[in-house]
Amino acid sequence: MKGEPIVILLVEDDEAHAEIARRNFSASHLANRLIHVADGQAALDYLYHRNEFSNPETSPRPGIVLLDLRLPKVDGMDVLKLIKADPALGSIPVVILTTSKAEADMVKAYDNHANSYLVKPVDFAQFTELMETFGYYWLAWNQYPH
Amino acid sequence: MNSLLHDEAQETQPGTVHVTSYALLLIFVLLAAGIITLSYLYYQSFKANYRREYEKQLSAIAELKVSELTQWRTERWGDAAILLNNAAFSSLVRRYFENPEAPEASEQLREWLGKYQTVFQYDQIVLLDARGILRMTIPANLTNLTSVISQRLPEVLQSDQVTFQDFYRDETDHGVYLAILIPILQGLGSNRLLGALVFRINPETYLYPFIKRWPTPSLTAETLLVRRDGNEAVFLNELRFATNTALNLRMPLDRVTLPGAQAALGREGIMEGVDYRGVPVVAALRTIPDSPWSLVARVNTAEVYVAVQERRWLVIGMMTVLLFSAGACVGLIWRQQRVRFYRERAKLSTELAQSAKELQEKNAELERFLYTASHDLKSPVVTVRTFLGYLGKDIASGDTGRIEKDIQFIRSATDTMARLLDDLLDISRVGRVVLLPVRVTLQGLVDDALGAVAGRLASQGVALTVNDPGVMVFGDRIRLAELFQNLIDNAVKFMGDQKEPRIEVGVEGRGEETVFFVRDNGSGIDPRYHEKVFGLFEKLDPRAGGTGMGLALVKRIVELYGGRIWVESKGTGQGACFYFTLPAAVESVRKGA
Repeated sequence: MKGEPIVILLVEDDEAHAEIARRNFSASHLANRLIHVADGQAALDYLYHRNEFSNPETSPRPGIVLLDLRLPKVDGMDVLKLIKADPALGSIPVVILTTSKAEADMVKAYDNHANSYLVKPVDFAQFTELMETFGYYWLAWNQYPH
Repeated sequence: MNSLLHDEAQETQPGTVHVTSYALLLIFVLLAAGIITLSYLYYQSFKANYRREYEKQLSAIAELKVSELTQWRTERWGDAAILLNNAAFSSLVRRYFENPEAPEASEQLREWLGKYQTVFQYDQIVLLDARGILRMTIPANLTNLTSVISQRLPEVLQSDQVTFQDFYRDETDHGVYLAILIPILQGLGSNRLLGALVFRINPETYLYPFIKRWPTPSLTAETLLVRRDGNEAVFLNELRFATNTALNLRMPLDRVTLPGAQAALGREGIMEGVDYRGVPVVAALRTIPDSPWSLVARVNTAEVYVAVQERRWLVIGMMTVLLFSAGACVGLIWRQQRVRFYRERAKLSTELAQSAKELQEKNAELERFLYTASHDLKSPVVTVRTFLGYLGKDIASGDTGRIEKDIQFIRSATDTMARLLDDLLDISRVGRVVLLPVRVTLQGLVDDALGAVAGRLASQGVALTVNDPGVMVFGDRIRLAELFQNLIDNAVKFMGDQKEPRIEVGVEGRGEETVFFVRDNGSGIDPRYHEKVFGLFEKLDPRAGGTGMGLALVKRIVELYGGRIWVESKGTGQGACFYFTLPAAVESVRKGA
């Protein structure tokens, strides 16, 4: 475990869901920095340092991407494809976090090299537990190259 | 679904075409049967008529011959009758017999008899005395009498009647002759016999040529004379197709098919049979009155039927041509039917493929719809449940700031849910609930739409103009107004920071098509999203109000009227123009519905 906080890029169009993630990560005692963008285009802009995200100081490269599938402008699946197709970004773990339990979505996500696929539970306790487990796994245990 | 039902109704057509194939075959069979029957009947009637005519001709010829033969015989009887009971002749014969050396009687007699020979064409004339001794012959120097005549002489000398010696063969020259035997009596009232005269007739001179003569040109026709002799028919003349037949050719009378035998038995009329050569013939039979003769006028059946046969080939030819024409006609109709059938089937299969494709598209759309709807409905549920959890915690810990926030999120999520459900209901109604179509102008539709969006237009200071307000459409007024309302609403929503916001509604003619448009000078749409904007629950701006249903609804309404919708925009900040067509609503007006 490093002292340096891990940057999490949350791509989520639903403000309420973003708030849930924010609360969970701030409640956990893990060093992290959550950056929230609301659509696929904004996520790509962030990753490629475009428009308002052009400064790498304020928009650092994320250690992990939490990606919803249904997004305005550019679809989550397309964002996933673009990240994984780019050698510069491909190594960033992308975890899909969506309400969709559809088999087709899962298959497609894994085909496009998603690192994990999580379904948002409807139950509060489960959602909280999921976020906690996610935090421990990806932020505490998972090792990232430098 | 409507188009599917329509297709099913058309399915019956290949069946009808199939039925017409059988009907055409039946028509052809009936036509052929008619043609064959008519040809056959015509041929039969022609044959019967021709045969009747030919028989009449044959009978007429036979009749003519009979009457001429009768005439000839009567003349021969007449020649004889002049000398029989002729007192002058009797006395001349008596004087000659008494004194044969006296030149006067001898010469007178010779002259008289000589005249008979030359004028009436007798072959020989012989004068006999009562004892049967030759006293004078013409030509002279004949020495003996044929036995046939000598044998009949006593009968003649006793009968005081003229006797006809029918065809006989002379044993000296083997010729065939006839003879008339005339007794010469002493004088009137006296039966004393002086002698007899024998007039010999050579049939070759007149009789045979006459019998042979046929009044019309014919290859096989001939007349023949027969007479009964015991159980046989004797042919009396020389025949056309056999030599040396006179008195030599004999045929048994019991040959029922032989015209000569039947004639010899005394039958008269027309018969078909087999002649002396074994060839089928048609014959007219007649008996010659006061004679032992019967006459047969006959012709080969084949000759009779030559003309009939010619006609038969003609009829067969005509029939073939007619059959062929009928077949060709029916075939042509059949071919046309088949072509139409295959064309229809091809059209049908294309339509079927089309509707299958449409169905597939609809199915995919429905799947997409269900997927999107379930996903988007699930999101607020997750929100509500999770924030209810937080709310519980926050109440327990008494964090009032957080309580406020939690409730805010819950409210917002339930609002979203309610709107989503409303919009879903709304979009599901398109095409399902259809009001009675009416005629309405573009201005009328925009006015209806303004009822819902006028407030927002006014508050944002948006100017709205309608070009071509008089353009007429025909359809569900509420739905069409909804279309304009959503497009205007969308334009207002994405005006951006435009200082002089403007919306323009109008019509453009592009070729045959009438294209409607709603144009704004707002923030515009990045060309990358021109397709995506019409998707269900698609929102380009996650912070914008609404559920992302508006343009999806618009697209559905446009598609309901068979049209298409697209957006043209140079990009962000350059305004956008939504174009769409409504063929069903415009066509109906054009047709004057």
